[in-house]
Amino acid sequence: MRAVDLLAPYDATPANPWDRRKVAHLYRRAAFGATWAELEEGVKLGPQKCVDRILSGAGPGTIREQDFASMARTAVSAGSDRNLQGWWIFRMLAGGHPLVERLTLFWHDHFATSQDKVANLALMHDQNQLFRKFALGRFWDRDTGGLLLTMSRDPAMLIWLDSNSNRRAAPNENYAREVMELFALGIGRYTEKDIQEAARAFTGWFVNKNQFRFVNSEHDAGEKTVLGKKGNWDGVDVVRIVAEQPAAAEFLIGKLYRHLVNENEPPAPAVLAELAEGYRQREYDTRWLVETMLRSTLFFSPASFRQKITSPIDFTVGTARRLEGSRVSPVALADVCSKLGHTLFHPPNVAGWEEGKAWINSSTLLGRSNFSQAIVASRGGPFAGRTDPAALAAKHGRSSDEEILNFFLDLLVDGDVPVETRTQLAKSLNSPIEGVGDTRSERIRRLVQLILSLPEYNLC
Amino acid sequence: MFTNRREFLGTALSGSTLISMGLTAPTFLCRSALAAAARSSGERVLVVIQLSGGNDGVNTAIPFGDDLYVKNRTALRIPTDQVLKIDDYCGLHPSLAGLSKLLEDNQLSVLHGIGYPNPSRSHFRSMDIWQTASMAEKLPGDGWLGRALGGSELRREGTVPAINFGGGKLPLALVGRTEVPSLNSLADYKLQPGAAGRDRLTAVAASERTDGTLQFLQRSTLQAYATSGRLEEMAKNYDTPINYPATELARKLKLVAQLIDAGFGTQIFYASLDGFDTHANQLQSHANLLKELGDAVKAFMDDLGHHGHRDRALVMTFSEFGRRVKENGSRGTDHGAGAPMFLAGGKVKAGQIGKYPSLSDLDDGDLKHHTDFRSIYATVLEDWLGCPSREVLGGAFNRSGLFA
Repeated sequence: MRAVDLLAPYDATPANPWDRRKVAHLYRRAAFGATWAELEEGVKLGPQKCVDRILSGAGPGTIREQDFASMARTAVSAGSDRNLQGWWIFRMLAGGHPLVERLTLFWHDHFATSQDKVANLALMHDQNQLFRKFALGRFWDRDTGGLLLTMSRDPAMLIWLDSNSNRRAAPNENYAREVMELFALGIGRYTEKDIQEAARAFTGWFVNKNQFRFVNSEHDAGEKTVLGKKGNWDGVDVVRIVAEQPAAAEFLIGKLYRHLVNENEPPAPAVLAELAEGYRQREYDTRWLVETMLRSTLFFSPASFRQKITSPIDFTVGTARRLEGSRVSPVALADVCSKLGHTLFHPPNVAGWEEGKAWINSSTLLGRSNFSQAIVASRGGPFAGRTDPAALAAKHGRSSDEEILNFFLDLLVDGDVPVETRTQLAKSLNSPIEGVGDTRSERIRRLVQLILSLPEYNLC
Repeated sequence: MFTNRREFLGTALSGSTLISMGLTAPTFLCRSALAAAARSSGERVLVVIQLSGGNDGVNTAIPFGDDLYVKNRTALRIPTDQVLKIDDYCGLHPSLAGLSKLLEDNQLSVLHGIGYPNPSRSHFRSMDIWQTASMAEKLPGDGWLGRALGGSELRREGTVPAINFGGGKLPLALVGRTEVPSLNSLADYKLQPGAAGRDRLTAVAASERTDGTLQFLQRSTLQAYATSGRLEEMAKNYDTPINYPATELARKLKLVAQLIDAGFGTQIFYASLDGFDTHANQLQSHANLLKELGDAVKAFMDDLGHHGHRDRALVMTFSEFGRRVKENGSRGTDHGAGAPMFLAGGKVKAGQIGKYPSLSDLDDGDLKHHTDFRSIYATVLEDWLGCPSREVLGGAFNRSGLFA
């Protein structure tokens, strides 16, 4: 297929129909998983209207913005990392705009900044709010500088990459290097000399009393040559020069594509070129980019469908959403995510989380399996009684063994498991629970625990 | 108490599990049940400790006898009377007292001037170079140890060939055709649903999958369940008089010692110590990191010695790069090149190996290396692990005499 066709809006065909699986795919990638009602409604809406819904905010939205703000203030003033993590997870679960939260997470990963070094929760929270504000906004623009310039002056970022030590007499190259290598261009698109010169341009960009402050006496106002352009550049100029490199749009698109569409293969050159041209023409309007990707034929193709490995956030938050848990503790979910290698506000390093297969190892898989037991447990542990699979199946009119099995397989793994696995799962409904409390409700809990532990449930 | 490997291999896989896993079970698991009798207590072990972030080699093995050290390090200079001297030119950082003691006991060598041509100063590129042992424009997707594990020399029937310590991603060095499990603590390896639950979980995961990503997930899942059973048994049975420091690295090395003593059969262990990216105010943070390293390795070697395994173990440290010889204006150091490595073990050729790189003949402010890190890898592979290195490293590298 030509790039223009791959990027054209997806339309249902007999070979590639619009069905519950496609709705589930869209909600897995662009939100944090779909409930049964959302799956059913999405099928009725059709593909493009369903994407409209995601773009305009498909979350429950039962919590007001000022309430989220007050929760954040409480977490920050208590100095509790875990509570702030829980605040964000609560936004993913109960906020009005899951897609914005997803992009916020994407930007947190892209401009990966860690509380380990920043050691200031208020600044970490402020940075997070900026990611939210720019989630579907401009990555860069000439008038305001967009997200890239905003991050270059963000206090948490400045602390994280040692800007306070970037002085005229002794430049510190840390930010200059990462803005080129990790934030905007990618390795190989600049020289060591470019970094040294850019570091001089950023001198004097300090944090003072938790705010950005330009200290003229520490700024090297001399001439620099950055990426072939000569002038008395300052940091704003360098961000502009970097953002206007042809590589900038392509670099960011490659990364977003990996996150939303396909983490195994980079976009074909023609697809990348077409997206890059559109992104530049629209002045780095990320909403356009995300929308184009989500609507595309490519997004709904087999190359994308269930070919991504679920992140811990998606695994845990998605499970809580799909099982329609009530009062599931977001802080407890955050704790699980930390054990599984996804500690919000603490990315492993400045390159962010590696994602994909890197999420998976023996210890994280056992952690996922243990979570699968804990989230359906009727007693014991942080989630005791917070979900009720038997009641959920009953609410949707499922009562026989077969109906219940199919319901949970459809809800959780697109109904797609090997025949033998299906047989084993069916058998489990008929085999007694060891120890106390062998009830039908407990057997249904165990059934769901087994499905959540399947290799298939790690696919996104 | 398990007296031999047969017993705990036997308990790890109940008959029903094995049958239900059918043909898709990872081959090592099937073999393990069949070949449990093959106790292999004599195999050699390599423990790689990755110092992440770029360790300041100049303040690790300190050229205190050189005027240029004093000149380049003003705020960061370690006073001569505090250096743990090896000779009248070079000594160890005072926080490396543990390593210094190992040196006195002929269990440590300091390898000077290790690096590679045209060094990258990007953490990620340079770390990938060290881990893949390649400098190609487009680096391979597997690592040097991962490739070595693909050969027959490091396969022992019924064993987990390598273990990574850490909850995060598997280091590229270990990526290869064999899945390498990660272990953070033994508690992480406890499967809450218990033994009956484990059998049931294994059964639903075991039937054949065809999709590539799904097969990867399936293999990893089955391996996780099996490994967890074995580790649960092992944890019950360890006893040591050695007091390990209360640090993450020490905790990991203690686990390694347990695994070695239990005859677990794993030959490659990998652990990381992070935080060496010391651009600012590095004096204290660097000292803390070196102390964590030195004390943990010392306790580990003592523990192995107590249990009679010292001569079987080799600890190797590396970092993705060293740092600039001249300190920066923020009492820190920026990314540089060339740095020392440490080898510890009962069989190492103790002392300094190779000349300390010149502090006057620099490459853009950085030490010049004289020994390619791949020749160290080649020596470790060939002379320590008995594994051919040419294919693993993509070429023949001169071996250095590293072992006594």
